[in-house]
Amino acid sequence: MKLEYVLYGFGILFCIAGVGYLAAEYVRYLSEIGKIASLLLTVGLFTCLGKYFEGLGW
Amino acid sequence: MAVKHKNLYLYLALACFLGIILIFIFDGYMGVYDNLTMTSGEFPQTIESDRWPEDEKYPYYSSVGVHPGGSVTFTYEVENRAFSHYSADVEVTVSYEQEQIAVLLSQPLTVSSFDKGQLEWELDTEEILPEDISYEQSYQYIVLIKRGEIERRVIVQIILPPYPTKIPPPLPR
Repeated sequence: MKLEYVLYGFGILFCIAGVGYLAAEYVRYLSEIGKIASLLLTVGLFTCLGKYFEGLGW
Repeated sequence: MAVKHKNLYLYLALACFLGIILIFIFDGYMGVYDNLTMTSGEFPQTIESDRWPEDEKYPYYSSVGVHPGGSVTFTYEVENRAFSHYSADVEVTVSYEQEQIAVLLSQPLTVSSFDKGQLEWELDTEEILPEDISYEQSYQYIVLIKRGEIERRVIVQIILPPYPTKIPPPLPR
């Protein structure tokens, strides 16, 4: 059971790393306004996700 | 109500994610893009806007080959995907062994929003090749296109025959 969670953790980490790498590659070609807007939306994304999981009782 | 409230944050998070994706698509589409078509002989060769070398340390320049006496026609197209017009001075020079030998074009370019601008010029090898061509030497010319602060380089390679085409006169008897 614990081994499964470890594997889940690795999977999630690899997913985040992959998405982060792709985002970093894309961000290189964005304009300054696009970068700021993306940053603000990213902050909003994690805030809303945090509130959602807080509401679930995490 | 509580369930709706919880889902509201989830939907907001999804909306933010979609917003980021849309910014990536929209911002990637917008901008000024240029491509170059080089025609020497039968087959035109096009360098698309995403094929210009970005690695300044190990750049890879596209090249076109031409025989002595021939010419290369260049068509430079600038696409302006912006809400304002784009203008820049375009200068095209040709250099050999890091020494500029000719200016092929020098003129301003103005492109209105969401439109394309095009410039054309021709490189005649007879104007740049020395009269006494050495067949043991290779000739590579760099065509430099300066558009505002942006520089694009392509190589014009002179294709020499393996031996002089001019038949030497017969030896006296």
